Amino acid sequence: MTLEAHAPRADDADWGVEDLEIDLLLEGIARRYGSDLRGYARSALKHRLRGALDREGVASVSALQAHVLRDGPAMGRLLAALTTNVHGMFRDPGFYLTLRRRVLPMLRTYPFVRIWLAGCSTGEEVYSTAILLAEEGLSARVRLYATDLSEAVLARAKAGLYAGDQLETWAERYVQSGGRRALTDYLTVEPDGLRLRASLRDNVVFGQHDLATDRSFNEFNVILCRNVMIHYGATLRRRVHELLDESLCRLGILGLGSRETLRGTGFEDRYESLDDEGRIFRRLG
Amino acid sequence: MGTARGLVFPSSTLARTAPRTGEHDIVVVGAPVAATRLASMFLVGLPSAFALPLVLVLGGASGRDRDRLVALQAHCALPVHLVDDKDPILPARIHLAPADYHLLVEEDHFALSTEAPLRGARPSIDVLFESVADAFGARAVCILLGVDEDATGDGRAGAARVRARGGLVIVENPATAAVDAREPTGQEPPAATVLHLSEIAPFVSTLCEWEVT
Repeated sequence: MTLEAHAPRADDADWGVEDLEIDLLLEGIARRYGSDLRGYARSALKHRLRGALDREGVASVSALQAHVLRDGPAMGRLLAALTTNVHGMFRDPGFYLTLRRRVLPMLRTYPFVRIWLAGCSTGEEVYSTAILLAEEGLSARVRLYATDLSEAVLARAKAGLYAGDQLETWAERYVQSGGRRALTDYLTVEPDGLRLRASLRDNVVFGQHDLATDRSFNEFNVILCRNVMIHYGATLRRRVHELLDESLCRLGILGLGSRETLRGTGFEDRYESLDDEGRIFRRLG
Repeated sequence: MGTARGLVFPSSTLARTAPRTGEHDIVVVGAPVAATRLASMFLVGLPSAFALPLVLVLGGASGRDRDRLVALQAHCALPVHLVDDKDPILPARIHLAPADYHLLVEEDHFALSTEAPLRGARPSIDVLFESVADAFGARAVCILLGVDEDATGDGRAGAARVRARGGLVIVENPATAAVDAREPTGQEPPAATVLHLSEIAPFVSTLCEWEVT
């Protein structure tokens, strides 16, 4: 085994320059395109940027900057690469089980329910939630608002077409989440993958929305923002929690990812936990 | 270059050890999940007075974190904690990377990411090591276990980065001793230290003891 084969390129040697280049790139993107990634967690962003350098075939972040500031499609690709998150269907089955058993029964008492999936990425969570609502007989009076900052990513969410290699895992998680049928009832096998049934999208509204820069656009009974704010730095995360709090009705439900907490957000006392894992919260007052 | 100036020391730790003045601020251990056994054997050798933060990532881990946590704790005198997003990096404990997230470090806290798996692995050892190289540079100690039990080579590129930034890299397995034979010319990064599994915990503990006296 040799470690040397993997050693960084010589031009990476000046480490401080890379940080400066990233600052300039993010500043440039914000001013040119309005997408503000400056508040993102720098460690993960850096990793994704290095991958983008390889894919775009450029040697430095500065070269990438020159490229994307003048080339809209290249910027679209970069934005998708920097922000796409891969969650799969029914990630954390326990979360969906709690939604099914504890949250949806409460929603039954409302004449109309709005759910916001903030940062829906490529849509697996949208379809998982839609399946849950269908099985619990709530589809007709629920509207799901699925938003993401990247148009390219949103297009994939709308298409609902996924590689088939995860089907076994997803089917298993679906059962663990309290699924009443077979996951395959909700999809068709096509030559290029699995396609979720179009009827699952009937009550879904897809829209472009950037949590870092855009304001609240409605009042919701439930907001699921799972594994989105992990990609933000502490300051941006606090600000987005404010935005979500403004967008949530009284006694509204907030769902976070399995390793996310309210610690350090300033909202610890404003919510009560509804599950043992402490990832589903109800807004107080 | 990042250091860990922002680290918080709980009072219980201060009572046991003097403030550190040493060369390293963090120990990061990567093992493919197939070699979890090696990680357990390494942890057995760590004394309860170990005073640095220790981060453990089992590359490609999936399934139940709780079970893994309990199994590891049974082998370990130090408390094992499953990392939540934005947890502070604290000394004298094992920070275990949760399944199905990438784990990264910032200067004084952890960050999780759901970027796609890297060569099939999430968590990826490479992703963690790379972030450690960025945030801690020469103040990082990086240990790679079970490299020969993982065909994907997860951890090698990250370890090379840690070396290039002047950090200390320890590679387990006598079969890989060739690693030091091929130093690049010019400005050479410090060599990786190749140790037998049973030697690693005592070696790391010694580093730590030098630092606390």
